Amino acid sequence: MTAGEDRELVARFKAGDQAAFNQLVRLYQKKVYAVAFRMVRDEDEAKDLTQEVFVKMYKALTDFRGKASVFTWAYRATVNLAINQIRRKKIISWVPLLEAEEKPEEPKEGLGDMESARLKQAIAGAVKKLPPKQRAIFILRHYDELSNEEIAQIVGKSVGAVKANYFQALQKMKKYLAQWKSILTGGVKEYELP
Amino acid sequence: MSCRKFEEELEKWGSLKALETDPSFVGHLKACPVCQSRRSEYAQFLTLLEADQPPQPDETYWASFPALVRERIEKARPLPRWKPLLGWGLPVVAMLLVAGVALFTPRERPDLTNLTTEEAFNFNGQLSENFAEFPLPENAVSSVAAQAEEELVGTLKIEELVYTLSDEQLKTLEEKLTDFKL
Repeated sequence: MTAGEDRELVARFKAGDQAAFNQLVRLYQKKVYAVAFRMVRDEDEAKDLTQEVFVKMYKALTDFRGKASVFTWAYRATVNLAINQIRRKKIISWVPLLEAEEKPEEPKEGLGDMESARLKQAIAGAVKKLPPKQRAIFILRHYDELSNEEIAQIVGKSVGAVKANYFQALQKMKKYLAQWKSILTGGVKEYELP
Repeated sequence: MSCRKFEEELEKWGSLKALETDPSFVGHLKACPVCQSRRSEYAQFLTLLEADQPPQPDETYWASFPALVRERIEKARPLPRWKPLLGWGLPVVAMLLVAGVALFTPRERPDLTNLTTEEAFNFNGQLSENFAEFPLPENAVSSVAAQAEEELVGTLKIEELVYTLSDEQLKTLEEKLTDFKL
């Protein structure tokens, strides 16, 4: 999907074509969900957050002037909503009487391989240790392969700050996951040298 | 290609892969065991992260997703102006009316200038007895207040209250809690 096609869908929606909005939702629903999940690390919360992003998008599209792309807008909304969600959970966890239970990250059914489930848990734990904005930068850069410029627009930081944050996040992740290195060298595939 | 340049490029995996078609780069990598091990370590790290794929909801969920969003949009639509009166507005208006009536109802004020100590001591009791003769305003206010409290606060848990905070309030609260030391 190009920015031009996005703009066309937005124009159609503004002209009253509700189906154009559904098309936009279908285009971005999985991408938004993936970012949301990686941020909040909970399937139900990620689904809820994904819906919320599109509810916000519906309201925002009427005033959408096309300065940023729909794609950038959706990512920005996802990151902001996820950061707020992380904050809420953090605040709730400060009140001990609330028994704010953070759902234990049990390996999901059908995962089969215990080792892989443990690895997923370790990565989830490591990602959770990153501060929210750094987490967002790491996810957008590593998993969504966005450019530093695009990420800067999404998280509202300078390109330099994005680079620095990504580097820091990378170092932290490497440190947190260091113990998995030995397991990896034993089993998981290795990138071949050219 | 130097080790320094290699290290700079290493973190940008995408461009590093592209560079691997460059003979000087490949030459350096083959000749330099330090860079070789760095590359291998980084590649392992990337392999590790590949394992982290989000659980995917099934396709039926995605097929119904736009409809779920629509449903939520409908729920989030603002109520017509008169509708809030049925929820919040009515008790608040009633409370204001009752408070207004209570405020402007003329009361007989006792003469407090020549009280003895004993009389002054007992004065509070007399006052509450006097007020008991006019139960309407106070009782009405407290019943409306109790109703409003029950409606607004009684049904909310703190987890839910956290969801009523604005983005800015959340941020401030989080900062304050982070700085908070026992």
